[in-house]
Amino acid sequence: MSGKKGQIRLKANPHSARQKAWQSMRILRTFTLPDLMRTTGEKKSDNIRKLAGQLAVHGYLSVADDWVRGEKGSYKRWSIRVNPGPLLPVVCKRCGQVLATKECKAPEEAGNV
Amino acid sequence: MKHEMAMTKNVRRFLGAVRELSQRGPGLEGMGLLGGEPGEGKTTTLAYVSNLVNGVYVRANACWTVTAMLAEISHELGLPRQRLKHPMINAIIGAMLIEPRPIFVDEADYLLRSTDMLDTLRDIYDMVPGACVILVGMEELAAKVRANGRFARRITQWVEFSGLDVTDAVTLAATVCEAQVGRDLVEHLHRETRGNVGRMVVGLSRIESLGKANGLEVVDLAAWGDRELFYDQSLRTKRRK
Repeated sequence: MSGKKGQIRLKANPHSARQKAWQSMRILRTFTLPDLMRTTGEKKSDNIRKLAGQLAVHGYLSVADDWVRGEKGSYKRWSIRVNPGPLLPVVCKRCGQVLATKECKAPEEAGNV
Repeated sequence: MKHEMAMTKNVRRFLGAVRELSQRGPGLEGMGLLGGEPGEGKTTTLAYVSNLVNGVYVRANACWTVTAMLAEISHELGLPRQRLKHPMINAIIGAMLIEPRPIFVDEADYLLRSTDMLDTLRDIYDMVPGACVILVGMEELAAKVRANGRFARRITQWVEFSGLDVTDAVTLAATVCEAQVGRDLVEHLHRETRGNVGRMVVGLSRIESLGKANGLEVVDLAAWGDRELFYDQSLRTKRRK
């Protein structure tokens, strides 16, 4: 991959699976992981599951509470909370860190810790 | 379960319509219409096709004016924000000439309130070879358009989603289910779910579990017996009585 080690890509690749998943999220608004896989044509769920988890940590998605864990044919349902536009957010607007960071803390909050 | 898009008749028809509009000859109108009742998979198909053809998706609303519509399309194309209609439409046409993309307008019923919005969309696809506009709405949209001859003339592709038939159910079972499902069981599933895709997928996941647990090559109606296919199946039967 091109770029310096640790360099943050500020723009998502417009033809990537993640960008397609983001477009699907914006169209469907409430969705499950199979919905995203079906509409993006992805065969493996790992990438999209990770993306949904990262977006949820940074407040872009929320999990619907009517989901029953372990029930056959039931999947976690997500809904979109913040829709900043057609391009997949790569850097969180609230904390200013990349989506891959595991917690979202505003800079002043992070400074107090 | 395999989470893949089943190529049902509805999906194939819509994909074919978008491709025909994108590759239309000169002088032909480039507007299509997708209608159907709620729950027939319009939005999922729209998301799938939009990703496949790199479409521009916008959702109309009751407050839409020509300016609001152009601002929304500009935003989707990643263009800088502008206040006036004329520079906005020029920027949109400029961007679309570099990369022609189909525009999908969801909740298009709102567009029929003003002819100006439809004329503006027509200007965009007239100026950009390879671009087209697909209006998506409820089943009433088709009736409204039909009633107005001026709009109907511009629509060259009509796709109305209908419920899944048994052939579609067989396609769905073959696409998503990892176990082989007998024709009689697919027919039973189709009858019980009344062609609802979501319930069919739940039923197929249960059928697949049964097949895997018992090492069955083909799960048919005899193997399935009178088990429940989906959670509220018995409740629905009671209600019908």
